[in-house]
Amino acid sequence: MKTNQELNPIKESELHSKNKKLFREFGILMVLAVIFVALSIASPSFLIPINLINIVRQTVEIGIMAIGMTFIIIAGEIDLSVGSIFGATAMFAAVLFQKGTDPTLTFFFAIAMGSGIGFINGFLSTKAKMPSFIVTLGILQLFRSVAYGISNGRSISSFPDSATNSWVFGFGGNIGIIPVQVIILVAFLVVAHFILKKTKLGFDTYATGGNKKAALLAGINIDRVKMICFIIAGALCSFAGLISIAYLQSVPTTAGQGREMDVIAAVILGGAALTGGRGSILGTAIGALIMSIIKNGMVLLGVPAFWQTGFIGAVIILAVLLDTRISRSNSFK
Amino acid sequence: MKKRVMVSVLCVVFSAFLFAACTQSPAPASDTAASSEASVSASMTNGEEENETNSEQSNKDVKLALVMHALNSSFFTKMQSGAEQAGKDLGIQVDVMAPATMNSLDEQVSMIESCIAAGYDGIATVVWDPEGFNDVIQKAKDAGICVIGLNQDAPDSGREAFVGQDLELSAYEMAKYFFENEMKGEGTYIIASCAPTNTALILRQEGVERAAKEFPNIKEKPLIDIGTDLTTAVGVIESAYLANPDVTAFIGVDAYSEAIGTFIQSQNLNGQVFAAGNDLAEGTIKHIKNNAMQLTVGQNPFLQGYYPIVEMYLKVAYDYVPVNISTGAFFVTKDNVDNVQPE
Amino acid sequence: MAEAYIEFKNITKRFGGTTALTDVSFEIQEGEIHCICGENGSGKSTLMNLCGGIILPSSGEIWLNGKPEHITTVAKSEHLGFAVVHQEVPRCQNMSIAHNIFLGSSESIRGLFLNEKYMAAKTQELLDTFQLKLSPEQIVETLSIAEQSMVQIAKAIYFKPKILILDEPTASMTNNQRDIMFKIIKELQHEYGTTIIYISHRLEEIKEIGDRVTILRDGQYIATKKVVDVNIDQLVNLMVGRNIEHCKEDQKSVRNEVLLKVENLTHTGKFNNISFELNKGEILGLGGFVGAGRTEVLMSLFGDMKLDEGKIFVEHKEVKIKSPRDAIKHGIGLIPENRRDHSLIAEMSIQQNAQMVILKKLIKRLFINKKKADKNIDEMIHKYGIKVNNLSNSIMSLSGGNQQKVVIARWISNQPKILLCDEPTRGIDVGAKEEVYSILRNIVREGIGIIVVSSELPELINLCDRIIVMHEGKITGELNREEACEEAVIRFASAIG
Repeated sequence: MKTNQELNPIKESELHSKNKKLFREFGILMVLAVIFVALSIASPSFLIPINLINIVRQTVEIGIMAIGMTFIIIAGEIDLSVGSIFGATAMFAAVLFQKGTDPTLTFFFAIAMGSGIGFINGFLSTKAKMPSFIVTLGILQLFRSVAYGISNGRSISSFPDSATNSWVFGFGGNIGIIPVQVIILVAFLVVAHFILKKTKLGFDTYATGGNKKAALLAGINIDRVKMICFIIAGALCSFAGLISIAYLQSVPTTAGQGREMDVIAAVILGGAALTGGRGSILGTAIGALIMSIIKNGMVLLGVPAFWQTGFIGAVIILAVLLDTRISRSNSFK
Repeated sequence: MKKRVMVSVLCVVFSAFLFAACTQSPAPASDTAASSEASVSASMTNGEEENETNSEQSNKDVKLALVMHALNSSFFTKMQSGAEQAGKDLGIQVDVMAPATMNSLDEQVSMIESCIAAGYDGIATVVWDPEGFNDVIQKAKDAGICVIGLNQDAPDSGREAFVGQDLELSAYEMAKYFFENEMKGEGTYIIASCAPTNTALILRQEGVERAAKEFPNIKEKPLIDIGTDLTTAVGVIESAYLANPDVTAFIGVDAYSEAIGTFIQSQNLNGQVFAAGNDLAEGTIKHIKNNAMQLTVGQNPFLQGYYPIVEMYLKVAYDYVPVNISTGAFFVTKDNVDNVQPE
Repeated sequence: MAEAYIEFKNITKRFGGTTALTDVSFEIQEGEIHCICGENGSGKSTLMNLCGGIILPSSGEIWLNGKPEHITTVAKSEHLGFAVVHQEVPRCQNMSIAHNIFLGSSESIRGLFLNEKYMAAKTQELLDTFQLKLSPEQIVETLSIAEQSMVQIAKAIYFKPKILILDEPTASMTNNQRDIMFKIIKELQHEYGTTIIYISHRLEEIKEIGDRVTILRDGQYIATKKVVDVNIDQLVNLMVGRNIEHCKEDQKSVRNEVLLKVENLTHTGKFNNISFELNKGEILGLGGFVGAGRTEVLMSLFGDMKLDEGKIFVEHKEVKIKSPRDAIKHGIGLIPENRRDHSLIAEMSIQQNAQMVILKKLIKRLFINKKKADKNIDEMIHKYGIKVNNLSNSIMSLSGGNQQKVVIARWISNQPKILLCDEPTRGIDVGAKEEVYSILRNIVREGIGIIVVSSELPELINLCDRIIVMHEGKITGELNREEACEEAVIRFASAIG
């Protein structure tokens, strides 16, 4: 019996070629380019290297947290507690630094705490079958109190030399003209990208978010996948917190408060779908960068204070609109 | 294929910028500050007659920024008006901005960094964290930018001057007056704070408690957190009153002390339960007229916005050294309330 | 010759790189039952979506009653008199049957309020007409696929459309229900003059109910014939362009070793005391009507449904299967009934969907090895004859038949000992069906055991070495190859004699 294949032969080379259509992040990349060019023209201070470096540096904290959020959103969940994890672990680390605990140990404790909170988020969202929205909302409140409690309501700002001279505080410094934290961000971005696109964990994450039932029936351990995503996110939040301590050398009680919205916005701007199964590290990085550039641009252009949040909101809507247009013309639907 | 091309193009473009940065001298933002200083020193050496024309030139060049920690209440927007009015009066550009979230340290620091790059000649900001702003203030000063603190202070942060109220002292005086004249030296009080962890408000609390030590028959009950929403605040105060029905007075340490008056008014406890508060919100003024509150203290937010602009302009134009300015503690009671404008 | 009522003029439709229809032109007369048949990928569904206002033609026109019409939205299509019953339908799963039927209709409202009584009454009438033992308040989610289909059809018929389009309506129906539906369709035609477009590849049905039939192949128009003028073999020939020999080979692959043994499997409310054995090299069929519990038995074997009681033995060793992962570990694979919702991940590509289960084996040093993966997928495509333009396209760009082949390939490449197939050829055409059968027959030769659940009796009888029949959760009979005939199966399925 002749198969379809033999009757309608297809060129072998075409079979494996990557989609010749525009890649998914193209839309948002164009948005970034447009904003970049617009600001370069509108403000003479924009293209100053120091300003550009500032922009990238200002993207680091949100960027690192957004990496974790990308995993979670692709897996079909959400994490509202990132700001609180950031704040609580930063507070915890700050107290340890102040007490003179070995900085390396403090580093690991902080990461462990962040991972632990991520574990709780993951556990409650999977085994306890609670919606992650509710779970992480509760954790957000809980650990905001923890941050207040640890610090007794005060900023923690004075650190002994044993801390400030350590490698951990080196995160706040520069190598030449490039901030160390930017290098860290880029490193995380690269590693995360490879995990998502080239490993089984990444594949399983997309599958779990794309169609939970189908992934389950294909033998993927969806609970474990989600758990890992939450833990990664928690660990990354605490890392971002440590970078914040190193750079600002002060942790206010409000550290991280409200950041979850920026983090989620960066991921969604980057093309992830809240329903899961779609998203990429590249997209998230572009999304985070767009937000930083806009915030910077508004200061450079002297935009009146009240307009600023509104402007960011408008850009987010326009960017997503543009992105939907471009991806719709490419999709099969 | 296209994706790889795009990404590599972007990488090349950004690397180009970084390379350019490496070969350039650091902090080129100082160029703009340097140029205005150059014109200033030129005007100084060219004699008085030329002062006016030259200072008109530098007038137009001077641009100042006010970076608030929040703009979510009329109290803060009053500071904005003060700064903007100063800008109008002096004929210079003044830009006011704040992060969307109140008390977001990293966002405020980032904003100031952007201001440095934008070439502002002076930056006034609310330094509400004891050390978090140290680095960025230093960066500003290295770039030749004048930095003045207002409203809340961190003395070691490197700001060149502070414009505002001495929080601890004003609270001490307010409480002392209140304990003596309204509570007549006896009774219990509860402090209501909208943000018990806020450094500025903690200073006020301490002022109140210091005054209380001088009155052996006045006892303190635990502090309550009323938050920054008026309706919720009234609810919290109600509950506190139910838990302590024989409390004599509530003392508010921030602009939301208006809620205390609202509570007393709605329960018709005027004159039975006493209240003192801070700032001159419209509601608070009304409460004083109706005896729902007996005392409030203004700190003149308009001046807290106005003076820093003037000081920075004077430094940029005439090399004047900025000084600390106390905007005072202005007591408002039913005796003078009719002459007071809300803010 | 009657006036042309609906005319397709030079319709071409492209989706990105694929062309679904090329220069298709034919006409449909008013009041006739016009069947459209063709293999998967022939373009039938696309044609239907054009009528339904879901997509627009890339070029060409649709004329209605002598006038060209641009059917740009679903609303416009309904306004023109179309009612479309899709094959795989999105329904409001969380709403009741009554609400689904009256979704968006003005009859659902009286004044400001929902007309619940009226809707319930009318819905009950419809359900009775279709002889469905359901109540109007039941939530659609709880219905089986077959029941959901029928609700869909009931909804379309209720509003007495001018043109009724049915896409594979009998896919999950029993013979009885199909007869009822045919009666209703004929009534519509004779009493209301409804024009009916009936898309199916069940050729016997076309012979039974159609007036004329149009054949499409690979997106091209082939011919339109009066149903009385063609026989089934001629139809198949036109559809496929080649002659198909029905393979009813003598299966000599069954070995005398027990591969799977189940004892007293019970899940309260779904099935009770199920015990049987599966030998190596055997294709075992599970027959019965929709609702008999066949799918549930498969699900429990795969770890997706809890077992209240019972034991499972794989190759004589007792195993506990608590999750699909356990099942896979013990060498079991499952091809689920609901391809769209339970097998396919729409956001992922064809290659990714195909290699989902064996991904572990394609990993070298932490990363997925592209060379290995590409080589593997090439083998898969050749082995199973999967028709695909580009492997990175979304899986949804493939026709139903090719999608199913991907699912089958996904499991077989993992070298299972036991393969569970739930309606393996649902929604795929004659040509692809035969290919699937031959794939299944091939793998049992290597000693794999297959359990097939199917509502198509000819398929069950042709394919299986043995058939176990269930009725309302219990096994009522067993037939071997010689004994198997449609009558016998139906008798057991209805628990008669």
